Amino acid sequence: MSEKPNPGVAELSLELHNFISQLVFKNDSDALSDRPFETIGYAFRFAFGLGFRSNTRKALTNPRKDIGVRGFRPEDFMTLVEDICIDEKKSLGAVISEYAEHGANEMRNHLSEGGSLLQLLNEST
Amino acid sequence: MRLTHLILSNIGPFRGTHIIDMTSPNSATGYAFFAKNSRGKTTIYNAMRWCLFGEARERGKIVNGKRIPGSIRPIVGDGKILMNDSAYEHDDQQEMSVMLIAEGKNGSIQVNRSAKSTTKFARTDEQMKVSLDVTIGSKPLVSGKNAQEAIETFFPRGLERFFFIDGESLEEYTEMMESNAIEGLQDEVNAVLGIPALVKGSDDLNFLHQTLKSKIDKTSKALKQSTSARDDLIAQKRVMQEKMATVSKKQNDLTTVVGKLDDTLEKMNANKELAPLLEELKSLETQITLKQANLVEAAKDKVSESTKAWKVLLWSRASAFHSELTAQKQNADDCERIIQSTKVEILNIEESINVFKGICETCHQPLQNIEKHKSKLQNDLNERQSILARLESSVNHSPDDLIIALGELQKLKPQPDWKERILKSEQKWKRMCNDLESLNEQKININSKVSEEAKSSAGELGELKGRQEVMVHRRQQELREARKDVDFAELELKRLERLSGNTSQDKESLLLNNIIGKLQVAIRDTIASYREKARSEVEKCASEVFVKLNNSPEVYTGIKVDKNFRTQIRNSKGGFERSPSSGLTSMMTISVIDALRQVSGIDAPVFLDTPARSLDEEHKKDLLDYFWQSEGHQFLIFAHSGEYNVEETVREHKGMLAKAWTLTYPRDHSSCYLESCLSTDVFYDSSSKKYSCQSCQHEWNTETKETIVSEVKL
Repeated sequence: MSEKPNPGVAELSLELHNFISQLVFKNDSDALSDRPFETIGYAFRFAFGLGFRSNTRKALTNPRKDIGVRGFRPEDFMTLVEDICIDEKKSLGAVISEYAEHGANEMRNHLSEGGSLLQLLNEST
Repeated sequence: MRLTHLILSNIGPFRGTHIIDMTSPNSATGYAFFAKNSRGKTTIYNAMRWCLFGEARERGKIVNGKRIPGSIRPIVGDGKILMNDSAYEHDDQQEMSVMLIAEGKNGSIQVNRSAKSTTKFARTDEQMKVSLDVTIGSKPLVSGKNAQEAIETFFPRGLERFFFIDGESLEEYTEMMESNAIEGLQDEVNAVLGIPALVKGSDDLNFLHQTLKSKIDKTSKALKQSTSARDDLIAQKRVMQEKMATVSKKQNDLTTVVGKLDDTLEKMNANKELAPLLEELKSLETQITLKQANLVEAAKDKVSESTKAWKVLLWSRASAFHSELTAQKQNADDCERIIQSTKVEILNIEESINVFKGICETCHQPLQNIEKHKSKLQNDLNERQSILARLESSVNHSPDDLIIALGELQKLKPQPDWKERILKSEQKWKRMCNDLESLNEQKININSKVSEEAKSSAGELGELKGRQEVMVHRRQQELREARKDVDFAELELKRLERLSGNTSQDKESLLLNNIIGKLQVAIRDTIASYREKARSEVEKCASEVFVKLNNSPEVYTGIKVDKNFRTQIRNSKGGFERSPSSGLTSMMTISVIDALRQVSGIDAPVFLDTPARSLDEEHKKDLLDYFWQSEGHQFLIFAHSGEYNVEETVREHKGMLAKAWTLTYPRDHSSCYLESCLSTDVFYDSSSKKYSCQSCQHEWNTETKETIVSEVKL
């Protein structure tokens, strides 16, 4: 058996990190805005889900900002990305971040086109 | 007053009607009823009391010097009753009556009292109707209460005991007269002194005095109150003025506030066309507030549902991973099975090679080409080993690793309805957003039609109107309270005006009160003087009677009556008899009673029941000699056979006796008792216990207890 990949850190380029931070529902005044996520961890998961679903990754640009281990544990998704990590000799966090980078970008584009985030469940599914 | 007839009907042992004629051709005053016990002596005595006063009492008692009256004997009922037993038990309607006929100063007097049952069988006196009728002279007949008052005029109830004297009760009188008695004969004396109505007059004056005094006191009190009320009135007038000023102020306040409210309403009226828009705006704002609250809920619901959205996304591709891993695990399982079976085959071939002996295992015959056979086995072994190596090299992941990987993937699998739920919450939130947006647009639209100034002005006016309405209500309430205060103050003012009115002491009342006071003193003095006079008269009179009645007048010279009407027997030595005989004491008692009767001035017969009790023969005779000599007054004795012998008494008092009767039962006669017959030729039937007169055929039953009244021939 080959060696297990490193967990690494989940992160996004700062611009997209800022973007998904704004999608967190913080108080009642956010009710009218499309802010469907309880925490940034859920927003990141959503972005990762989108990237993974379309099997599309995007390289992160600098500067970057991590999500935090409390918000996201890359090890929980080893089964999905282990092979890629081994093949490309990358950590789990790095590969997952690339998927999420793509997903977050897609979310931004979708919102800018007037769509709502949760519609994304439908559109590409 | 002189009795002429006594008519008894169904009373005591008198069954039916008995007329006792007491008229006499001579002026003698003595009357006597002789009888054994239970023949009706006391019944006649009681019948007359009942007729006159409506009741007959049992004998009373003296306890510690005070008289305890006996109980009233009922007309009907259980025990000793007034009505005749046979009439009570056998008559269809129970009826009893007593009639007295007499001659008085004002002509003939007729008193009739009767009792009739109101039911078929009266069990108590309440079921008896008692009626009383009295006729005096030519005056019309009077009944009931008026009749009783008429009796009082010739026979006062208070003096009853001086006329109805019970020999059996003489000892009671005696005890009361003795010097150690508490009240002596106070009641009796007061009753006697009451005759001139002085005592009653004094009572009336007392009442008048009390009434007048109360009136004067009341006026004095009113005068005091009036002075105090005048001061209060001045103070109250000030209070009233203050209250009126308060009302006036409150009225002004109210007018001011109402004026302001009218101004506000006028201003609001000027902006009337804006009112519907403002109303709509208000309604929209309310709707928006509600929608916003609902939107927050919907947004929170969406956030809650969105926590699962990433799994839905991941699984859309991860499901393929899951399928692949599942297939890999299946392959791995299959491979493992083949590897194991190949290993077993290799072991078997290796064993076959090692133990080969050139004998066919099937037919057990020696093999012809041993080498060829060995080579075949070796080839089989090589082939199996090659397969095993290939299989082992083809296994990338162990089944355990695959199980772990599948488990990890399973954690990412969403529930089938998650996606639908998430999208529903999203739709709901969107709908809410649209609704809110639409409301906001409407609001903007209306806002564009109403200027901010107008809006602000309308809002302010509305608020102002609300405040002013509250103020008007408050001022109205205050005005009402102030007016109520004025009303109360006015009432108090009127009350004080009334109290402080012209009150002055009634001079006539004062004068009258003064006169009454003097009159009271005069009456008290008169009563005291009259009492003393009466005492002196009673003493004198009683002494005279006593000297006549006692058989040693030279030794017992008179009776001393003290201021409390307690009595003692005087002796010739100027002292008092310390232990007089019972006969002497009885004489003293009778003397005092008779003296009181005389002093009372009432002209009425005297009834003496069992007169000679505790008297010796000489005193008995003296008693009759004295009383039957009294001029004018009838004197009736009710004597039993042990007291006086009929023949002897009649003989000894011939000329004094007006009339005499015997009271007997039928069983007392063994010869015909009818006055017209008196035959001794009678037959007694012991079986029926009846006598029958052989001369006049009259029959009488010795069992019956019905009194026969027979006049004694004088």
